Amino acid sequence: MAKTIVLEEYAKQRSKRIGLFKKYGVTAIFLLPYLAAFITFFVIPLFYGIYISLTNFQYGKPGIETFNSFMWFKMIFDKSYMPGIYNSFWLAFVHTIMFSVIMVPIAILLPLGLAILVNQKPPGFKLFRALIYMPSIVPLTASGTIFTLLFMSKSQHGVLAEFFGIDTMWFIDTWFSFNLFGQPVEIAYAWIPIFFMCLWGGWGGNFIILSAGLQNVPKHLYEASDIDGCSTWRKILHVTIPGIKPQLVLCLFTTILGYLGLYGQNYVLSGGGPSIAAIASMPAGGKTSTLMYFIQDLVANNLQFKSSLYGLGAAASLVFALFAGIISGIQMYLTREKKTGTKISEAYNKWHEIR
Amino acid sequence: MVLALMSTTLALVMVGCNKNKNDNKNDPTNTDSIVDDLPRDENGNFDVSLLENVQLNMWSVIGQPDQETLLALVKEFNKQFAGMIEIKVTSVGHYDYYNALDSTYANDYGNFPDVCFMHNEKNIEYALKGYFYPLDELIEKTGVGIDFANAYDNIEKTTMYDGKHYGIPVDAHGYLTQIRQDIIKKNGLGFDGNTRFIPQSYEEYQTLLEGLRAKANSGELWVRNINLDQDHSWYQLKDGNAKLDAAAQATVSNFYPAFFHSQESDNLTALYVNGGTLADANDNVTFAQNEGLTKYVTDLVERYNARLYGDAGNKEAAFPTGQVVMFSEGPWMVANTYDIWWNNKQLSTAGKLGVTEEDAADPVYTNPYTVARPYYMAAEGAPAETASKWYGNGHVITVTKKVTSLQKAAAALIFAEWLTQGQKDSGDYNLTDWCKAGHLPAWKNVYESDSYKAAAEKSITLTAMGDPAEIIALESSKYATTLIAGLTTAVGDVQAQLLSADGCTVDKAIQTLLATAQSTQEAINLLKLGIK
Repeated sequence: MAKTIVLEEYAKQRSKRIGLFKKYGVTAIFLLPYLAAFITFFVIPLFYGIYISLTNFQYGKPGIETFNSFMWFKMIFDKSYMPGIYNSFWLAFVHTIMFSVIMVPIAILLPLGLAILVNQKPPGFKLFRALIYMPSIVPLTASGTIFTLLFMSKSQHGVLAEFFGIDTMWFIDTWFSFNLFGQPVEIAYAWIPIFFMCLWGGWGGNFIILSAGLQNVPKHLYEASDIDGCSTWRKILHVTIPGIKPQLVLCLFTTILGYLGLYGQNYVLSGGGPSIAAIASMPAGGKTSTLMYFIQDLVANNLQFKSSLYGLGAAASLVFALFAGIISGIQMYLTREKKTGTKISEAYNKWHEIR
Repeated sequence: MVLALMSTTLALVMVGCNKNKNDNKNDPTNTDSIVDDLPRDENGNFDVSLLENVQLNMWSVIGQPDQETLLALVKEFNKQFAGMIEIKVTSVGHYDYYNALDSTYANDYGNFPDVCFMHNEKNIEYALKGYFYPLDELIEKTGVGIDFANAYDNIEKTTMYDGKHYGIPVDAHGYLTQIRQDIIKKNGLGFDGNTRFIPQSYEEYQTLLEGLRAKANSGELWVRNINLDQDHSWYQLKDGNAKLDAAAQATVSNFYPAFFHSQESDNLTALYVNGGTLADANDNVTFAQNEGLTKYVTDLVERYNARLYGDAGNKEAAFPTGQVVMFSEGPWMVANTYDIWWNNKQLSTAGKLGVTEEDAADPVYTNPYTVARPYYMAAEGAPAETASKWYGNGHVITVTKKVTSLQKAAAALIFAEWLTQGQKDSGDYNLTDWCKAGHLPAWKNVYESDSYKAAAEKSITLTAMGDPAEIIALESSKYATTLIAGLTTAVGDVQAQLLSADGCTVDKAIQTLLATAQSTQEAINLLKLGIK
């Protein structure tokens, strides 16, 4: 029996459907391609990674793995389970943290200083801007070759050795060592070329972001501070820096994550070495290995590890992701937009208008 | 939450879909996946002429200059078997070969090769991953005439596991010591009354190193540059000669009797000639327990500290100028440099570029560059059965489990048989052509053939490498890559320490060797947890 629909009800329903489509449908259509890519390339791999980390998964042979009672995680967190893995993972962790702590402030402050100087628009500032950004377009492998040639030994005719007589074996010698929780940590000279390569290749990106931010700092604030008799330094501190806070936060976020995931520079310059005899055959068994190096050794660099220890690689990746997430979370919290001063009055006005 | 559940479900479905996809491939000994589609005549016999356009994709690990030789041989095979079998060669450089093999196996099985022309030291490791067929059954089913009785046992063993052959051995070769015999002769440091310039024992090698150093230190060592178009006149080493320094010639301070040894091949020779092994049958790492290897490592330290060994930068650049008298390198070095550069014709033309009548008339001075096996690796107490031998790897041909047709398997075996045992109308073995590129044949009948003997007489590389029976090949192991890497890292670390500001002592070197061996054992234990 045909259903009888009152015209008014039909019109109402149709109007509701169109309203809903307009409200959510268009958004969904626009979101769909991104969502599909996000689920396919991020969410599924993430959960598949969690699954792999809980099994004895073998590369190239999916489907035959079984649950392994958190074995890979035990290796990372329990020294008695597999001391070599425990030592190499946590040493890589220490290297990562130490390098990031030193590198991140410099990788922000130096481009900031350069951006402020270039923003003064001295003669030829466009050329300076281009020159400062130029290292960023050099591919990693090419800049690796440049820095290798610079730091090679005298017998290999390294530039520093030949022209300045510096005979340090940058990729072999240990710089200094110390004990951390009873474990010896040897810091290799190789970190110095890695540091310079990171700095040289990385400052351009932050410089451009901060330069763009500086263009948007309201001029009237500078005029007002001039009237108030502010020195240049105080203007930078109280006008410029707060004015580019969003760009600084972005730079800080990407730089921290970038150096926590340091891999390419030490791969091309030192190969993670020089090696440490006691963990030489372990993943990341070198003095310039990082957490990402540990993971890469397991899933890419070492063919035997790759064939059978993908689960350990997945477990290490999850621990790394958790760690990076915590650091980023702390950073986001500390640099969050605090509603003080004008922000509070703006929020009040908005609330008042709605009311 | 919903997203998380959806994703987990999807991931599990993905795993479920893959379930058992590779089960058959995973069993190394399984040959059930081969379908018997072999064409047979009315009497039920198979003959190659019954094959119709069987195409095989072969991955080759061979790089230049040998690649040209292999491609020419394959071209000849394709010509002879036109309409029946066609081999398509994909040359994958040795840096990428095994990574590509793993990646293609895991992610792009459709493009996995049918045949692998690869290093023999990797044969069993990859066979046990389930990549290759055991060939004995296939040989029996197809009736292809491969008789392993003709293969050298010592080389054949790299293809065997649990009594089965997973590859057909092709050749073998080891690292050779490159020697400036002219410098040894000119300085009267040769043996047997200065008529022999290749050290044949540990003692002779040590004497030669010390003799060269002593003469260099006293400013009495005669050297010369043998590079093409350079001044070939002899001069005595002296420091502070600006002209020599500017010309990057040998001086007392940059002269070393020998360059650091290669890290891989010589280590293994030192281990095997002294009766050692990388690991025992239970995969316990044993290389650090071998006294001969320990002696080799401590010798490195003592010789470096006494300036008998040194890091002269680029050894290929230092050798012809006389900065280094000996260094170790693969046999391919000879093909690249022998006639064209370092034994060039200028050296036999008197009156030009400083070449005297005496130099031009002396066969040692006109051929200053020679190569030899590292006879000097056996330390005191080395077992007699291994002391005169040396380590060598080589190549094998394998049939992969991508092949599911007996026709294809037969075609692959026919190619392997043609390359290793096939003869031309003249009676010459095809393998001889391959060996001319600088490889010892893995087959006795080829080595004993007149054509090979004639080729060997003309080739300094083949003459230097000698008898294939004296090759000690790598022990078959599931963990070959990790074991070799462990030994290489240990020796490499000692060499690195020597170059460091703090230097290295014998005790530190032994500690490094032991610690790295321990770490290698841990790596194997770790792999055992992963590999089921």
